[in-house]
Amino acid sequence: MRLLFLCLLPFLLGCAPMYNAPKDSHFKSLVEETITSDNDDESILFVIAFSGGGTRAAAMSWYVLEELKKIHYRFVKNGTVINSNLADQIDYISGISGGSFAATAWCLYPDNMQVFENNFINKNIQKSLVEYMFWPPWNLIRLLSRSYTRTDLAGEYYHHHIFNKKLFRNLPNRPKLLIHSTHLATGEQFLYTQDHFDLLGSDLLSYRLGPACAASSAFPVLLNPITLKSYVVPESLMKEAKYRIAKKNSVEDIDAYYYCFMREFFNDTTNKWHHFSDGGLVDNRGLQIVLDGLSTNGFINKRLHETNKLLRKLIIFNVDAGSFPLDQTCKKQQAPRVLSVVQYAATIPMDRLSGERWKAVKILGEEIWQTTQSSFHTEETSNYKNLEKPYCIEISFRAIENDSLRTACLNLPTSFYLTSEQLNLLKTVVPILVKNEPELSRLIKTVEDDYLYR
Amino acid sequence: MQFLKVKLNKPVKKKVSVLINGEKNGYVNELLMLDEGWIEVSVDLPEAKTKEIKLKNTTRQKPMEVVI
Repeated sequence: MRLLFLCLLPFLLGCAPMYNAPKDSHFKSLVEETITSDNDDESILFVIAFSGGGTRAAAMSWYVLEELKKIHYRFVKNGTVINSNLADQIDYISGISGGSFAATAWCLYPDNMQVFENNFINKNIQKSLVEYMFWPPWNLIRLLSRSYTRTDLAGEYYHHHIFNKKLFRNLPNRPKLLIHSTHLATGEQFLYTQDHFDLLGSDLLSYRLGPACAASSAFPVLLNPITLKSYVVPESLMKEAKYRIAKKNSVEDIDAYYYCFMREFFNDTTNKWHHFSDGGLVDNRGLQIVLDGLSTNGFINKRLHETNKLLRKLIIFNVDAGSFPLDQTCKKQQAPRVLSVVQYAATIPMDRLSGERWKAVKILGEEIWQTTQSSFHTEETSNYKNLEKPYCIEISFRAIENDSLRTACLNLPTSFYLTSEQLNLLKTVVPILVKNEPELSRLIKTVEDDYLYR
Repeated sequence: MQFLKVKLNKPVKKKVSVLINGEKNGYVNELLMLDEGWIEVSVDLPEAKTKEIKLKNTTRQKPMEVVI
């Protein structure tokens, strides 16, 4: 009997997913850590956000990064001319669902882009996931457990076969990776950052990158959520000034209300297990993090006020792989089936809302610019004197001028597999979109002017 | 967007950080751009007082001034 138990032990242990660990008391938070590196021009803040959309989004984002890598960026740092490229200037990289894979891979393999192309973009991930269910054979046994789901298995596949067993602690300190998911019970955005792991009393650095991307792409109905364990200490989340002040603002400010609601929910120690699904349920373009960053004490807001190193360029770059397939439902009398309606409900309102967020980002950028215009410089505003008009750059299929190319791109499927013809289509359009983006052209011109006239 | 300027009642020679809701954000005597609503303001000096203020109806030309 004992022998049988010992033989089954590895399988029984394997039936539980790899949960997050409690926070180490010696843990040093990344949040306040300076995000910098040798080839970083500290006078710019570059935030790039990749939307969801399966392999379509991952490939489009990756090809945009390839194009940015070709754009020469030179600047003077400590009296030395640094020859770099625009992609190396990214400070924050945000990804949702398919976009989260490209964002994570960029942090791991910026100098060997072929790795991600081979392991993800050019691969039929859907087929590989099905094969992984059957081989190794104990994977099927694990799936019999109620606490181990197909999403856990997908997370493990990504961990082993895409991210080379890397954990959050293996990420470089720049760019800072922001993987989005949705907290199912509260409907709040949950990022795989230490700030959010603090809500669970948990340590981010020992967590795997694979399950984080699995959560970010766990589309409801098709895939189960990823579960994280809470180790939070009672009342610990209610002591901070930010919570107290948000409570005071929560009647007039709905965002403050949701912030308090989320903290109170996480602080309820009977909520021991938290479940996370596709980040696209609340924000399919990764732009909420930009809006949060611009609000009081957000990372962009603080950087704008950091006058020991004056900010010259604020770059908000959005890669939107949103598609809009030709709809066939109105050609038939029969109403769409329930599963189709679920898909409509889960995607269309969010696509519209994500578009509104982009408009809000541009309006805020304009407001900042108005505040800091040179005609208004006084002693108090001289801290913004170097700031140029913020660059709000958007790469989207909408901008393709050629009708047939645009239609073809907007009809690309949302899946974890694209044919080589479909990938070639993306490889054709992305350089054109990058070349024709007016805000990006303005940025490239000022980068060169900065260097020439410095 | 709202505007705030924090001043010291006893000026000091060094550059002093402002604390908004307990977090360092900007410096004394500089224009800060923040959201509308209540905030807790202090400065990064020993025994500095903390004030709760409501930011509303400010402009970049007429920011709210708080003396700590």
